[in-house]
Amino acid sequence: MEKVRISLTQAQMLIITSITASGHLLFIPAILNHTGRDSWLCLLLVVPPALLIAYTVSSLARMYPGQTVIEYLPLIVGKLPGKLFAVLFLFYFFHHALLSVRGFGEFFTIAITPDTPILVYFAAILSLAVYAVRNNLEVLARTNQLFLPIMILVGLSASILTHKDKDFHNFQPILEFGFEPVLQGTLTLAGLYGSFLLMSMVFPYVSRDAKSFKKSSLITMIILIVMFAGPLTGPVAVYGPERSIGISFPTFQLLRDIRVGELQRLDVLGILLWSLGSFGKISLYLYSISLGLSQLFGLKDYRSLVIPVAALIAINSLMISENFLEIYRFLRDTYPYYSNFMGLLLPLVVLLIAKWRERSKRKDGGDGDVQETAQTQTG
Amino acid sequence: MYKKLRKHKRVEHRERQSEKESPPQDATDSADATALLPDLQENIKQFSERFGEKSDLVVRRMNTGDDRRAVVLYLECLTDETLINDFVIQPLQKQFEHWSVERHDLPPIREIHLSTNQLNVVKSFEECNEHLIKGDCLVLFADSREALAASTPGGERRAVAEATNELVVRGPREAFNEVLQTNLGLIRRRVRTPNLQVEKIMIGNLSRTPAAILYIHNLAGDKLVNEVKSRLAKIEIDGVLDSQYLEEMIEDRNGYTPFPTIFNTERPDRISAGLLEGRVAILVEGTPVGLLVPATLPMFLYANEDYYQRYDIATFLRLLRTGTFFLSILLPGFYIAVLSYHQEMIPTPLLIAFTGQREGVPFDIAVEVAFMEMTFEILREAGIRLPKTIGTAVSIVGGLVLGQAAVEAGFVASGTVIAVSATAIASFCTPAYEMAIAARLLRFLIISLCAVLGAFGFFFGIILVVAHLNTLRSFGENYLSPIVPFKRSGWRDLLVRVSWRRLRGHAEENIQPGENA
Repeated sequence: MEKVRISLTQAQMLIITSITASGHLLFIPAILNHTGRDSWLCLLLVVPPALLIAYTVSSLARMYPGQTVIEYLPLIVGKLPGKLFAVLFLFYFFHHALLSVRGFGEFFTIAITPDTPILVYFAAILSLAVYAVRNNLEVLARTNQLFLPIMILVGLSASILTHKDKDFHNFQPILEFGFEPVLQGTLTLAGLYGSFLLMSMVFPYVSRDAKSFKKSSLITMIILIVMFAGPLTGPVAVYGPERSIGISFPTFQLLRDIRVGELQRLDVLGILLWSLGSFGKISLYLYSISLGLSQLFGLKDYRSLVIPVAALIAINSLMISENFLEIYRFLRDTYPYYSNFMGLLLPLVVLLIAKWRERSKRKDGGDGDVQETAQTQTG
Repeated sequence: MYKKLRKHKRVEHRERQSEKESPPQDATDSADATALLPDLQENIKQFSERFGEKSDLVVRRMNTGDDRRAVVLYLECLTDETLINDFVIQPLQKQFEHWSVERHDLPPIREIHLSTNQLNVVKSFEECNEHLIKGDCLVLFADSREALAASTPGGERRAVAEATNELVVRGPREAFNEVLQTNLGLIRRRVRTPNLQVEKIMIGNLSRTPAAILYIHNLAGDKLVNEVKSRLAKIEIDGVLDSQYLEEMIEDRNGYTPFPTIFNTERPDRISAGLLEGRVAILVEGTPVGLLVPATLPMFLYANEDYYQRYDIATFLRLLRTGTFFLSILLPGFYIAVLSYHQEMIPTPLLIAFTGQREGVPFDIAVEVAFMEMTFEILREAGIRLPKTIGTAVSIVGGLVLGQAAVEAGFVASGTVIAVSATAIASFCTPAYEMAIAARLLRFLIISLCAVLGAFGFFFGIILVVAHLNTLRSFGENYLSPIVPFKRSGWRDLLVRVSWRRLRGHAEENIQPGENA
């Protein structure tokens, strides 16, 4: 297999796409549902946990350069527990993929073409993802590198064009219902940022030295937080707290209500954002799951797994829930705890074990490479 | 299963190759069969057998006093007969007279002087045949196992003329012709550095077509040059009649793609510009089309005039051209998607007008557009190979009569005619013909996707095409470079062309093949 190398910027862009794509579509309503008009406070409160996630993932990648999380887990926690952890992480990725594929399909069947069966959209987006992933990560990274600036441009212009409709008095009074709803919303947002863990499948292929990962990850996280400022505050400012909660896709509704001269109802912009974004996100997940599975079972090439995994995703995203409301309720009630456990807590534990092992090894007098010591430990 | 089949084919191919190689091997085994014979008559007989009794091989016998004789052989269609007369036959006669008076013998072959450009001593029939085919004339002597080959090139060739396909308002007008020598001269005259390397090779088992690899020594990367050489060396083909043969045989194995990954042009200035950017050019005898590698997508959207005009105007035109390129692929699909799935986007008065037009049209919009596009493709194909005088008739019948009548008959809506003809005109803006063809194919892909999936189909198509473009490579260079992977230096000459003052350093940084990500 040829050597795959992507640049650090491309890796950053991949993760930005994969978190914002369905984040802006599916998670905004869940967060708004918790917080109402205080949604902007979440952005401030989420900074520490988000940075912690970025720090954890990048430190691990730095300690084990050239290896994915599936590969270095057994080195840290031992062979069998490592495999167990790997299965957990892969399940987490898989679940995320299901959510985003289902969310993508629901978006189209609810908002755009109600008569089309949802499976059509699953098949379409997954076949694109299969095409990109079966080529290699480079193709995916470059395609996304071309699309992300376009998406950001559309997003920025959307927030500028809606500015005249925004009434910032809608944010008053602050903390009408106390701190608890805001904390709930922050937890949801932090859970979303937990999927930053996906970067640990991409880092090994970044051509840059592993030392720069930490700084760039923190920067990426800050960019991600800034990118949620518009979508989180926009619906509240335009529609008011009560109405914005009732809309199933508030950000899409915002785009729809843009009016520039004779041009109106720019659904196409929304379709652009969420088809290009979902393509990046779903491909990245498909890639990570296939690669992770192949590493878990010691296969040489992940390509043979891509189509089966895609098929599994398509079927399971149908079975994951009865309807969109169920997903929505899951995202609101269960997801924050589940995702924070998987995306923040587990990696943090793994990092602590790794650090502790490194330190104990140093105390023993071995000043050698971390990776080497870890390998000797597992045999 | 498929792999097995391919392997089988490959084995077959190899067998066929070895068969092809075997006859010459047999011939070389018996060295006497190929070496010239001491008997002159026998030699002549051999040649006339080889080329046929009544062929264009001219055998001019010369008496040289006594019984000893010499013979001049040449192919009349490939040589210049005045050259042969003035510089081969006359000098020979003079020298023979001189010799036969003094020594009553023929001079040793190496002491005969002919005033042609090149003079070689040849010993075997193989060599002789090669020289004859090249347009040299052979002088055979009695009682000698050696012969002389003097270069006397001739034959009809086209003069260097104005470019017919790649026109410019301002800039050099010369185009290549079919003669490799002339073409090399056109380039040498533009790039006057001894660093310009010209390597001649021979391609084609039967056609034995000369070709040349050109590059500037310090600018083109060694890796690239070696890659080009090795790919050309691997070619196994009977005949090469146009550079397209080579193009298909040396292009990267990207799997199926409608996009050209090797640039071709008929303009020496374009090739020279490529050389100055560090690219490698390939010229082939017998065709006015030269090749340039590596080629990236933006190259196909540049016109050479971009560099001969003021940079601000050039930039405007380049942006226009890029825009029309996308239009030529996307417009009909977008029209279908919006009109059949997203009518709410259209301003109401316009929507009413559109709906009014389509009142009497029984077909779906997608069917309408596909029908008009096909009609247009047929018209275009019909127009290309017709004589120019009839060509205008086709455009009148097609454009005016068919278009208008179709609308009036309620066959298509006039909106569709506008969309299709706007697309057609946009597609004429693409400077590279190969890229315009690729766009034509992709247009149908987008049309069918939009007809099925609406706006999502539109973006589906875009994602598919962009992802596909990202899989492409041309001699190690990414096809979309420098857009992705992003290279800042490349952007000075991408969508905008900056002034030559700031573009100067461009060449050296431009091509670093093999550099990924």
